[in-house]
Amino acid sequence: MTDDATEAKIRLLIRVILGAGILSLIAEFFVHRHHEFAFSSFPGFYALVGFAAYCIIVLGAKAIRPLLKRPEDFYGE
Amino acid sequence: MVSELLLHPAMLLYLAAALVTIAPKAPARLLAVAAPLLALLMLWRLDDGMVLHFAGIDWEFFRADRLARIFGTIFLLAGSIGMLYAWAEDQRRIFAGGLAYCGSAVGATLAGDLPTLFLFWELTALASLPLLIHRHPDYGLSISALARYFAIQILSGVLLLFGLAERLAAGLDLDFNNIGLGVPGGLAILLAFGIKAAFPFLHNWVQDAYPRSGPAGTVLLSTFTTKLAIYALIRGYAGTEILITVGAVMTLFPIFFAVLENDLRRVLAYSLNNQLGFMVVGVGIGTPLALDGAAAHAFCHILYKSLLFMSMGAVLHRVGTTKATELGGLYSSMPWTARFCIIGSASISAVPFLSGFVSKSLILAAAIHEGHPVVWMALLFASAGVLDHSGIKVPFFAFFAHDSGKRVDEAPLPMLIAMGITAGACILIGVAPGLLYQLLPNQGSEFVPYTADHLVTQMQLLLFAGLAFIWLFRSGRYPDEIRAVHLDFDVTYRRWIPQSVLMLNAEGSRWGQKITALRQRGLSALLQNLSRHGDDTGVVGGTPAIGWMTAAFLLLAAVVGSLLT
Repeated sequence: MTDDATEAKIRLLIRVILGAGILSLIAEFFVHRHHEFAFSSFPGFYALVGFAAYCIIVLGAKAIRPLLKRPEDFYGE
Repeated sequence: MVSELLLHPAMLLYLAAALVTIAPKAPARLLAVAAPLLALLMLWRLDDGMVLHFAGIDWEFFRADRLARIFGTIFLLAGSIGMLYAWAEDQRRIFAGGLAYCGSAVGATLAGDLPTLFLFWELTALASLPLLIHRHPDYGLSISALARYFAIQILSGVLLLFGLAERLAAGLDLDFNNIGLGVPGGLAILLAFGIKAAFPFLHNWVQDAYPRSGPAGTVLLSTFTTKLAIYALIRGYAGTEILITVGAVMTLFPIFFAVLENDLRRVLAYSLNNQLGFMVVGVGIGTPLALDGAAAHAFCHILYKSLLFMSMGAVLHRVGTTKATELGGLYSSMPWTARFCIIGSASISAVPFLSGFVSKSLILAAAIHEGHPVVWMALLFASAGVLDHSGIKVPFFAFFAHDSGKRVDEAPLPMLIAMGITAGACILIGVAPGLLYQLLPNQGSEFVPYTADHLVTQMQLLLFAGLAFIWLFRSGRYPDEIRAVHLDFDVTYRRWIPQSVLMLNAEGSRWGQKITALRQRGLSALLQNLSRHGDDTGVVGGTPAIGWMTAAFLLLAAVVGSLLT
């Protein structure tokens, strides 16, 4: 799975997603954006929320894991 | 009266459930798929207002208004597809249980008064049991788990009955319309609905029970009970403001557990919980647009969530486990299952031109219209979470990621066809949302999902959340999948409370002596009998099971008793 051909495909996919992301940022200046609330009216708001929320969720879950983790047979059933 | 009863969709499904247990295999399979479709025809052709009289009460059995019809429609469609999917396992227990369960859910949505609702509410709990009697390759068959599930379902019914009695005592009518919190019985009935809708702290039965069932069993379970509760909330508690907060918490709380959980079908159960949160927010906002959003989201959610459970069920069927630590690289073995899974994942993540996008947008728009910035932010935040656990984690760790080296056959044909139909429905609704909107109680309130503005902002959200995944995963910051239990609220009633009781029970204490005396007086024979049947955990597992069941029936008996006196 981690051979060179696969790695090249993965890199291509990442570039496509990155390219599309940048494109979506640029596209915002060409559409009439309806502003939901005052705090959400700056360009790139959704990109920021998407990126930040994702990181907070994943890293937050990772941070609380030591508190919640128990052996797989904890409940004995 | 009897002939009228036969024209009720639920009765048709009960009849079919009885027939599939005795008919030869081939006609039984055909009947299982055809019966829900026939019931669907009845649902749309029959006139409103069937009332039956028995036991001194008028039971309003058939109120088919727009709200009841859209929920009945999706229950019956999903029921038929679920039955087709179940061909691969080919067990009469699943056909019969599934049809009776589907029929009960439809019966409950058509109930025009609270006694009829209560009847079908309890039948839903009962009919779902055969689906949970399953020897799971990872979890075995746990009688304790089955008892926990059943006790919690019965508790919901008991609360409903209690609320009904409170209404009766206060001289209120028993019609099932808007109830609200401000009337006698209002709180009890809300809690009854809240248990089945998996409100925070009442939610663990979903994640506990659903992943223990078989491939088709979990698909059917994921469809009916919780969405029936959403229907009941829309009918009874539209505009109840506390539900906005409850729903927002529901969208957030399960996300973190979904990130950590190893069993991908349990990840989906947490994800189901998070999706219910969106619907509950819609109910709480309570405007026509918001209620349409809740109904639309329930409709779409049933499709993409069953699709996701079907794909993971196919993996369970072929590999024997859905633990992420044991999977990976299955794409080469099960390419079609993987593709269908990705369509389900993209739908739940609200990728434009798929079903989740056109239904979730209604709820988000309603939150904006009614001026709820905090809730709106919570829903956006939760949307990024959905992309993680259902959009990326489930397909990525099953079909790609590190190759587990497992090589299996593609899913059986009935499973593939069922997944194909459901995936097609997800795409159809995404491309032509008008088809869904025209069925909604308020016909979508003329909402336009596809504007340039909306497309661009949604793509920003999804693409940058996706980039966050790429960054976290490639840099080794993404949490590893590990074989572990992560404590959720159910640790209270599965561990802490029983352990406290055991401490009281210790030899020498007065409580201990009393309990021992009680046990010796006949319970022990029953216990040994029960523990001999199928429970891997033996007497130790059987004891809490009996406790749970006894508690449930005592509660039910107490309330029925108080009603009669």
